[in-house]
Amino acid sequence: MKQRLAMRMGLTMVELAIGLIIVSIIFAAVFNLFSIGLRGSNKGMAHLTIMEGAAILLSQIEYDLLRASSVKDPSAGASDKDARWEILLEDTANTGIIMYNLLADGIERTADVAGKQHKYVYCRGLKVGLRFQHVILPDPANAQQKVGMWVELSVEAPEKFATQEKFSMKRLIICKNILDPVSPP
Amino acid sequence: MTLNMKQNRGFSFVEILFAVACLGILLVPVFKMLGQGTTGVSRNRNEILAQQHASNVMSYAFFLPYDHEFLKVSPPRDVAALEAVLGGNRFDLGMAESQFSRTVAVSEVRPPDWKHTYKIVTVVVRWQENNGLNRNIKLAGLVSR
Repeated sequence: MKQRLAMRMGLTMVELAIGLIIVSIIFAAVFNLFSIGLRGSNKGMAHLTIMEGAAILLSQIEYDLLRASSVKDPSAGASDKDARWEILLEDTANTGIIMYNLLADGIERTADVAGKQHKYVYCRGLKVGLRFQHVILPDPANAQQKVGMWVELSVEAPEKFATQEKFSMKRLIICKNILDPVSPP
Repeated sequence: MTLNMKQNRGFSFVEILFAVACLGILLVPVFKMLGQGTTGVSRNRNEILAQQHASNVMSYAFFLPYDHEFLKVSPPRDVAALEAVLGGNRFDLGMAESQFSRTVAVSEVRPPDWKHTYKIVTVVVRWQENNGLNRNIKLAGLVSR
């Protein structure tokens, strides 16, 4: 009877302690694996965000440049990161102006068409670096000049993403609508 | 007495092993899911970069005069490293990422019922994904005088 009681008394302190230690070791290992996976996932998410932001912005810039009827470089003294060009509209009497202005967290595109301004912020919440370089190539055979733009774009995840992710793109874009280019100031 | 001892004996080693194996099997899809996210990001990134590398060569071809050396009729040739000199400025159109390779092929078309000729420029960018999958994109465009 005495032996039976002893066997049914439950877990001892030592058994509990060993059990807890084993469980915590297993939990620590699993948690560690999860945190590695989660960190990778966050990094991937941040990279995807900046990549998609960059791709969408570059598509918009390409679309604007393909429609451009003339390209004006920023005036002397202006930020070298601002670009401004005129776009060709269906009614050629009116011209629209497209401007890109860098913000602290994104880039604002302003389309000034017939006195009405349409603004949109791309890459909202991301750090954007944008540089344009005017490219002019004389084509003596056709007595014309081909005009294009070399665009260097970089998009970076902000500090709040807790990961340093950066995605850079370089594109040579030809302005097919420009036959008689405006000379850079 | 024997019955009581049996009821209080706890888990055997085999039971614990089985439980751990079950837990491991349950965790596999969770980690696979996280891994798939990373693979997806990598694939997306490679596609965007490949598109950029192909478009840059195509834009360069559009910039050049019809009879330029770069636009000579040729079977696919390697243009992984490419420096463009346009209007006195140099532009690096090379590919920084080593997993990409790029070729350009130029053919000339002379339609019998048309006085003009034109060239077809085909750019192919190939790369290998982290999982060994070979992928490529192809861009083609027309260049005329």
